Amino acid sequence: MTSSHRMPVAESPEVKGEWASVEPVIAAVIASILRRSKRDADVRDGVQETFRRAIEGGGRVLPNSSQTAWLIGIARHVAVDMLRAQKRHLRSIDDDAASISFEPTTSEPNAFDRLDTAERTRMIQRALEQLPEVQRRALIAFHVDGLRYEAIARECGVSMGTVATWIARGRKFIAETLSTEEGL
Amino acid sequence: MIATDDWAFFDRHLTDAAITAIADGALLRADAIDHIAECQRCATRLVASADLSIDTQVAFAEAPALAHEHARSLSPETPWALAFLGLCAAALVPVVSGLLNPASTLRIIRLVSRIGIVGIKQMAAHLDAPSQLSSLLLVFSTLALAIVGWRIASIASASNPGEVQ
Repeated sequence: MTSSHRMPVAESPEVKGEWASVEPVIAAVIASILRRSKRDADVRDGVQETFRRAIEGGGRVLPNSSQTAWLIGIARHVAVDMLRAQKRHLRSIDDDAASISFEPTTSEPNAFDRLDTAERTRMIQRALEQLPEVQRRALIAFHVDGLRYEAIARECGVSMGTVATWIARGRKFIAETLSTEEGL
Repeated sequence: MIATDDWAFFDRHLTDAAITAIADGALLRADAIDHIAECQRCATRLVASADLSIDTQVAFAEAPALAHEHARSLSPETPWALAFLGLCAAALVPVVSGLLNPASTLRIIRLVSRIGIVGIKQMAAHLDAPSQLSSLLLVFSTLALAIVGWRIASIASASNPGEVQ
């Protein structure tokens, strides 16, 4: 898919440094969406394309945001693009084959996407106010203070699994609150 | 990064906590990542979790009031609050002594109330400053209030020696 970009991307400082540890996760996401092995050539191309797009869009990363989450989002788009390309290719070979659905469910807009910025902020503020204290503090420590799970766990004197649970439940509650308020 | 982990899997799928930790780059265990590659359900959940992480981050970035509120909540307010309460108690001493002296009671209460109102207004105006600075202002204002009140009570007692109990 992007063989011409493979070497420069692989040699970039981002890919060699901080992103290297995330590469298996990116490969896993693309492999799952494409329904291929992680070692498949298309999957490897997808990983390189993800990093290429990430490098090009590096300025858009928010402070304190999860680089992994951002890369996973890009990987999803890369995989969807690859699926669409395959679909077009199949159509050119056999119209019957085109009836196979390659669209992943993850391409659907979520509750956040359907709201304007101001309304979304107000809803999240209301949802945060309803959260249990530990979940709210964990979310704020991660998203506002930019602390990693390990640091939050150390500060709160709990395991990282507990921190992950607090953050997971906090975000889930916020998403559910938005869905309920929007009647989705 | 997370070493141990019965919390990562449940019923042959990744837990919500594990999915969230992977999306945030906090869990990079090989068996969890291998599972993502093989399980479309968990991969879909991971992508959704990554979206949610980014969306929550965007919401926080667009709501500076949340960060501001947190900055206040993380300040070491307990020791300052205790100091404030102690100084408030000190400020009450001349008021109480004034109450025991009927001739100067009204005057002292009026003075202390006026000073207190001015002090509170000033402190409220500084609540947007960094939390520690606000706390310091609060403590020193209260200390000054206590000293002034004490002096007023002393002067009142000296001017009415016969009424001191």
